Amino acid sequence: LCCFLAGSAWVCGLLSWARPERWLAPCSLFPLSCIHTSTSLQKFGKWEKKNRIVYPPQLPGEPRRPAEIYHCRREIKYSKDKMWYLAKLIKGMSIDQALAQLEFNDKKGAKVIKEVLLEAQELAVRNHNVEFKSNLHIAESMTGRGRYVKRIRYHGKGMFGIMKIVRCHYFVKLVEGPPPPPEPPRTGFDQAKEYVQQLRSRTLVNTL
Amino acid sequence: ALVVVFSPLPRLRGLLQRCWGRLERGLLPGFSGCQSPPWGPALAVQAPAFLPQPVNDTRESNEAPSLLESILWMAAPKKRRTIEVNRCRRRNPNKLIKVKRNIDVCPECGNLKQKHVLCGYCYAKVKAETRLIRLEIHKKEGGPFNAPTVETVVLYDGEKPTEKNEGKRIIERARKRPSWFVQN
Repeated sequence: LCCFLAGSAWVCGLLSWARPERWLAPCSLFPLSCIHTSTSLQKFGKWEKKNRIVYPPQLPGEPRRPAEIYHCRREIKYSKDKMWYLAKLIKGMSIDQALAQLEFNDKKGAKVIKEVLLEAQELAVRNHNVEFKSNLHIAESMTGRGRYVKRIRYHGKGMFGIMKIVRCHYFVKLVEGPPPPPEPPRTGFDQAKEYVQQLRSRTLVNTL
Repeated sequence: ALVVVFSPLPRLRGLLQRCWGRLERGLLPGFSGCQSPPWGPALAVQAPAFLPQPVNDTRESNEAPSLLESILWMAAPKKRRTIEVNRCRRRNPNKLIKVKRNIDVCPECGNLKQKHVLCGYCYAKVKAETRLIRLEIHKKEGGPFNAPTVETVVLYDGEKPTEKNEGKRIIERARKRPSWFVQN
């Protein structure tokens, strides 16, 4: 069993050989098999690390900081563009409304996002000291591109095409509290007011 | 290329061909040779750079345009669509998913349901129970094509067949009657 350790560098750490699961794994003949690769034990991305920030305790006079919960799911077998429509749908909704909309949506990503939201709700209540699980709203919901894999797609007459197996990530940030009211659409009057304000705030240079 | 086409006067045609022959061979132009200048009033047309061949080689009547030529008339994008144009198309409100306003709460189980659709949870419950009843029926009948010609009645724990259910086939289910299965 120790033969495959002979070629490995001490850099991988003295304890790495002592891990029992390593010994029970099928013995490969590569000498560098016990080097700690990045895929082991789930590398944490930036979104997962956002849950770890700890704020200093609030002073008595300050308004209460609402709880923020960051959750994501990686490498979902779906297209990021198609997932974006669902993410855009639930942006800014309360979590109950979002779950209702996703339940009766026919897309494949709707089921995945529903699971993610329920998981995030669970996490909020358990770890992040949220009192009411309905008192959450979705502050941000985004999609990202996952790892693409290229494969050959066979056509007739010996022709072929290269297809991409597409995957995506989904990120969501839940914030405690009722959802913010939707901002009213910008009217022409608002735009005119802003323009006049811009003109008034100009300063004249190189003059008295 | 702009080419001056000669007005093909019958006598000058032969001369024309000879003059052009000499031109093409790189000799002096036909000015010195012919009496009248070959450059008569003529029509200027857009033509390919080489002079069209004289009429002697008979061209066949216009055959059907082959695939190689019809490619020239196929529609193809002229320019790459920029990401701004693509975004305008993909994020147009008619492409975004509409918010559904016909979702209610089922009064029986409390799950969400659409107004014009049966509640999914209650339907699944009924479906499961129906499946078990059908298993019982299957056990009683024993095989295909053994369905009796009388009605069927399902009785749960502690229920006796009344005089209303006289001639009917009885299916026994070994559980309490579910609240949604009303007995009449």
